[in-house]
Amino acid sequence: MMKLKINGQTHELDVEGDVPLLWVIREDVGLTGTKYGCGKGLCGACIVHVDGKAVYSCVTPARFVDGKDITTIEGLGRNGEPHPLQSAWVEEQVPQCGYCQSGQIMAAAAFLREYPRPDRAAIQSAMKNLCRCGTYVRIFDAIENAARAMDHG
Amino acid sequence: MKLSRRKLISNAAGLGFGFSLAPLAVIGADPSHQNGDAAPPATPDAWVRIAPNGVITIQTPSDEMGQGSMTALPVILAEELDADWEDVRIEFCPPDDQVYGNPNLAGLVLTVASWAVNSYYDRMRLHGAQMRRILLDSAARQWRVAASELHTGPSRIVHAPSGRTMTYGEAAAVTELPAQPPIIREEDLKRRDQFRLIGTDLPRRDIPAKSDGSARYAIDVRLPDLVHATVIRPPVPGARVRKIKVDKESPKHGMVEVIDLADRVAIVAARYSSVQAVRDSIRVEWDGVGRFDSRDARRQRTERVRDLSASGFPWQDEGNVDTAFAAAESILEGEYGSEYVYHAQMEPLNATARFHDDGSLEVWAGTQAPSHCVRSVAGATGIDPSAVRLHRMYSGGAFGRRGAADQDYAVDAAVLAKRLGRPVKVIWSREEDIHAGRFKPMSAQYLRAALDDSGRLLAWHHRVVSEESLTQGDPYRHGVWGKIPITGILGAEQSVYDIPHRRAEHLLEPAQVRVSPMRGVGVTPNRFAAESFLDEVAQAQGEDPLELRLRLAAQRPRARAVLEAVAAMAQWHRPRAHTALGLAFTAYDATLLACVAEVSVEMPAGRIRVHRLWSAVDPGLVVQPVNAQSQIQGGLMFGLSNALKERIDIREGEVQQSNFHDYSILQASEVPEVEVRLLEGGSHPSAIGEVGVLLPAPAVANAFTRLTGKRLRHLPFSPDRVRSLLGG
Repeated sequence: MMKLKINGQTHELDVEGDVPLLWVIREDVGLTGTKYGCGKGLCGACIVHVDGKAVYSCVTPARFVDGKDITTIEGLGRNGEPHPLQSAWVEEQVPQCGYCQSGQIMAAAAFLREYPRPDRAAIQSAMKNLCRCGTYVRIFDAIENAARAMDHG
Repeated sequence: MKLSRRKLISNAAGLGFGFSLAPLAVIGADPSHQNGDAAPPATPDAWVRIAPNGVITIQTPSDEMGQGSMTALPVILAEELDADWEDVRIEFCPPDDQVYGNPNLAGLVLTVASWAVNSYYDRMRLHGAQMRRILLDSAARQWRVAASELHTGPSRIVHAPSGRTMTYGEAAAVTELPAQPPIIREEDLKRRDQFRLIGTDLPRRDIPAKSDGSARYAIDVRLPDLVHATVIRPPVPGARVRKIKVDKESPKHGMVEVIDLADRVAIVAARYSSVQAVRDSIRVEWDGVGRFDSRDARRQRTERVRDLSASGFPWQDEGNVDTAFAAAESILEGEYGSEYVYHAQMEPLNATARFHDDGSLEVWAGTQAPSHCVRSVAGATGIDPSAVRLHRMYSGGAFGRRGAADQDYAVDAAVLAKRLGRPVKVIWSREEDIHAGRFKPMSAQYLRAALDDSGRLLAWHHRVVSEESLTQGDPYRHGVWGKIPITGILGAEQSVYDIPHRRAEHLLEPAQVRVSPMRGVGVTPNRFAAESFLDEVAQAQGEDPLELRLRLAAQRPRARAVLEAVAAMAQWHRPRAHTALGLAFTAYDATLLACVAEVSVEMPAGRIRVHRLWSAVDPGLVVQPVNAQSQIQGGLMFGLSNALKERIDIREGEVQQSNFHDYSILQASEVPEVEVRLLEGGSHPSAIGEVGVLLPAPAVANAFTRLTGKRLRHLPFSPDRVRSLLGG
């Protein structure tokens, strides 16, 4: 038995410890916003937060996060309100196919926690997630806007 | 093949629509009875329903794979219905070709080639206007007034003389559909200055759910008793399983079943992670793989394209090209080429299937080709297509990969669900998605130009050697279209520039590897070659590339407008210190666009750095301006990624790349500043989704030449090629 604390809720799960966290989140917990894209920690579609840090859940064995605080895209907002990044994503009309966007938002949220006032160059070098639709420019705009909103909020 | 706007409206209105509810069963397994040119029988209620509570449900025929036409098409219908957009709900239409088929795509429910908004624009307007008229006539009967005394506001009917109003919901509750749909003439439709929805920034309906994780893709389907699977395919189509070797070290992950399906191998387990672990411990040996090598293919095609003694399929032949070359004062020649390219949609191919006790089949898939999907899963499991219920899910990217007629990934799920007697979700691993990818064909290109003694461009001859992607991707559509190599040769025609003698021809290579249409199809390599070669012509004459294009487009005001717009955006004539600008132009469908790239080169790395991209685009009329901007921005990134980085190599029949570490696509750190300007030069929408991808390659190549004096002749412009050109 493993205890995973996901989005503030503790799940007792009967899962082998080497199962990647991604599949535990998707198949056992039933939260499907976190995506499978490459399985090798290359594309970033699977990014979640573990104790506030961005982690590639597709290459993270579940036993490594036993007892830690895990946040997925579904738990990023607070008190029923979307995270400022999520609002900025809608405002800037960022997503196209949308498949990579949970991972983009989770990566951006962890980044802004460490660097609350990034310039454009810092955003471009920090964001490693792939987007095949090429929504990058709007992603950068949305991160800048969210950073401003969070600064004022 | 393409219907004029007027013809489409008059045909559809004059057909005498049968007014029973549209039949929702799919057509039979053989779609050959369809005629892509005939407007189908349809009723407005097959497209829009209005509930007594005022909710307006509009069917969208388009797949939603990121391009936004799921929203754009209902906007068009809602405009003519004069609906309040807040009342509108959107549903994916049933996969019924007869009611919802795209007249420009062989009558299929199919989302490809940037042909959703432009193909359905008239039809969506017609059905919106018909439903509005039906409601008006009904209200006139209720109130015993002349319909001509009524007008509509957002979702309501108003009788101004008496001040009475009725909501659409109230009207619908007392309206019976007439036996014949009302005839709508063009003058019954709104004028452009009357639009409330088209051309405004209505947000896309799919975006909120794509920002909070709740959007549902096929991979997200959860069912009781579901098992997971993956399928291993041979390197080339047609090979057979010889032997399946399982490592002794194979991890123990509960019950796992390995199934030999003769032409592929399935691995099934309760958890997908178990499937993956077993996948890594299995090797399959195949018979009939062959020894295809993409390097040999490139050499052979390069030789073939140069051999002018063999002519190809005549895509364009205007004037007298042979005479013009014989009489020419000087002749320029150029050779170009491109490699196989992978779709790399972010959601690996997957589908879920479940058989019911009554023999019916449910399938969940993100697909560009829902009616092909229904026919293919029915055919593969031996049931009637009417027994298939397809759930159309969001596609996590598609770019043509989900449009292949055989719908391989959905068939995998259906076949396994039948065999196992329980619901199955098949997910191709990323490795499998690449290994069994269906690539954009490899091309070799030869061009020559004839100039007269004053340096005027007299004749243009463009030859392309490639596979035709539709031979495998959609044999049905290939047949309906007379087996012309449309996706291979498109874009090699010169449709805008004033060149008296023009020829474009295609030499077909048999498909020995998997190929299918991919965003931009052959237009990408063909315009790369043509627009690069045009710069060579300009260079040979000492003419500015912009001035040459403006001169060749002297009689085309819309083309000149996009060229002048992009030149102004980029400040074309302003000298740069360490960078250079390159220009490219194309038509695609009725859309005209131009692009300028600003580049520098990092040596000795051989890395091309693209600092800025500007693009001016005239897609006629724009339905959703913000989304149109997004599509072109994204297309530019996709095209830049193709141009700088992407290449599939095949050795001994095996695809050499396996994941994003060795098939690299554009990442955030490589993204240039991007500026897009839309010019609306027409009254009808034309292509948007693909046009952005077409020009980064020639624009970057032309900038590179202006910077270095050397010419990039082969896509992609990888660092090894840059280094060998610059001698680094």
